[in-house]
Amino acid sequence: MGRRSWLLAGFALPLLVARASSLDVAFDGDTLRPVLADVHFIGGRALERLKDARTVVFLSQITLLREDRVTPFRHAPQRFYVSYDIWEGRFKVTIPGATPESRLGLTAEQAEAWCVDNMTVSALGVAPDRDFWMRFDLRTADPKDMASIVSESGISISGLIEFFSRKPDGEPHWVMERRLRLADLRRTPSRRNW
Amino acid sequence: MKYVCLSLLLVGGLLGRTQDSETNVNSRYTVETVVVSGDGWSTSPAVDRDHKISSGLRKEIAALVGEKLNPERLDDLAKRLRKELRARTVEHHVLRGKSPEYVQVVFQVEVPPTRFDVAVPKFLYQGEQGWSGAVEGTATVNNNGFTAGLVSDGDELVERYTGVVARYESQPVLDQRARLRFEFATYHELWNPSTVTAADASQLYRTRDEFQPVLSVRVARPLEVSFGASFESLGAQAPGAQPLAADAFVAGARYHQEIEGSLDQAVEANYDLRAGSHALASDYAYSRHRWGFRYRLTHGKHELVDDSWGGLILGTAPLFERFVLGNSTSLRGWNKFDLDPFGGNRVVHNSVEYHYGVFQVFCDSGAIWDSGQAAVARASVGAGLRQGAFSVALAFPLRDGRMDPVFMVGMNY
Repeated sequence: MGRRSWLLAGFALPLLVARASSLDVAFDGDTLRPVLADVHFIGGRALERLKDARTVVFLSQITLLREDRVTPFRHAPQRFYVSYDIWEGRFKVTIPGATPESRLGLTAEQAEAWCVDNMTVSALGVAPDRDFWMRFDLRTADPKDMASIVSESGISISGLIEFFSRKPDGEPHWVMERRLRLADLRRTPSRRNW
Repeated sequence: MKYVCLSLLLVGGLLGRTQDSETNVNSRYTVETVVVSGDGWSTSPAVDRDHKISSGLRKEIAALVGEKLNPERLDDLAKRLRKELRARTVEHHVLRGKSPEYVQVVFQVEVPPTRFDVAVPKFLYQGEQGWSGAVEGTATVNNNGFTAGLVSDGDELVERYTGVVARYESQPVLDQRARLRFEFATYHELWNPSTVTAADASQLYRTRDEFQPVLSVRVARPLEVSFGASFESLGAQAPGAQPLAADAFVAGARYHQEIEGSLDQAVEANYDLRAGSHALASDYAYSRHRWGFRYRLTHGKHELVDDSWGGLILGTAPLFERFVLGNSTSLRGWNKFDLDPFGGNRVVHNSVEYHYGVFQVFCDSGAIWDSGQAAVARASVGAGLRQGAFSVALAFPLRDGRMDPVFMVGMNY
């Protein structure tokens, strides 16, 4: 199996394991961002684990695909480390990296909103009048999964594809996609500085 | 493909590995207590010395108290507990402590209601006495253990006994303090020529069948006592002769205390009584007393062990009850058949061992004799490697003018 076929299979499989629903998108002129008004990912088993003082890692991936809906041309993976303060009853979210960013004392809704605001993909270089697909994946990751996804050099795309291609193990997995053309999108102001 | 490469470059170096302590908001809280809790039992490793958990792991769990919460460390300890307790799952839960900024950690152990284990409780080669081995399979159903096994042991007793063993051990009852145990065994006996020469023919037997019900009760945390009976049927060597019964009351007491600190110490004392009585329709009337004392001192890789025991038989006991020295655990290097091919009814023994990591040296001394005879003290020294129950050693009996080393290898629990 060639790398291309493997990649294609990797992108196709999530559609089999989780129903792709329609995606609302915000565009600020430079970046595209999913709008997840009805998605509450801090809940269920993830919330149970958080209330046991565990860290829950949410992995998101935004993929831009050509018109054929198969060939990817841009990826934007992101990971969020969420924990729940068992004394304060508030959440902390950290985006790790060379200069980690954190928000402390958030409600569940605020924590979700801050995560979503940091799930962006650059639209620079995308022709305004050209059709393309935007796919959004979000799921929790076990710390042991992180070892195969995150290496010393950063997030491994192949590890990420393999991870998002796995059969659901009871963990929620959101997959949404939408056909887009930048020229059709109404520009909204960026919310990243809230 | 170029986008994949581009993505790799973009994320490369951007994100490294992240420590849980950096991202988990609870890592600023201090651990107040730690509890390990299973089906009907629980222990606080910082306070209790529950022997379900090994000393090393227990200490690591106890060391969490007073430290800042580290969820990754809890994951690691839960994994090790699961392996050690052979549990289905070990989950850790963190609760608010009694004081602000403190948390309580609970490891919840879930043991599968049914499991099957195969164990090799004994497997050894001793240069003088050859191979001995035992293999057992145990099915555990709702904490009730059902064991069946095979054994051929030419090391422990005067005789080599070969046969099958079946055992039932009940789940703990009476507030987890008591266990009932039934053991059945049937053996075929082989005798060393020197034993055949030393013994009266009527004292030897061809087969030995054993049934032993015993109740063990933990009186207090370090003290356990046991009571029961042992019913033995000895098949005569001579064809057509009636089997003999060697039935006895059995009782025992065990004291085990561990003292942890910069120097870890463990003290164990035990006493066992077997009393053959005509009241049990036994053909033998005797009492067999055995007492032992063991002290272990550990500091880092250094370990010093002193193990003393002695025994006394009053009356006429069957051969399997007689004491033996000169095997894989006592007067190592000596041949038990040279010391006393018939076994003795008086014995004292002391063994001093020093271990550094896997290396071991030991010095055994002891005497075996019969009442009315003079006791002759003997000694041996040896060296080798030991890892857990597995041991390889070369032992030298100390006797005038000769040095005949004996090689021993195997595991003995």
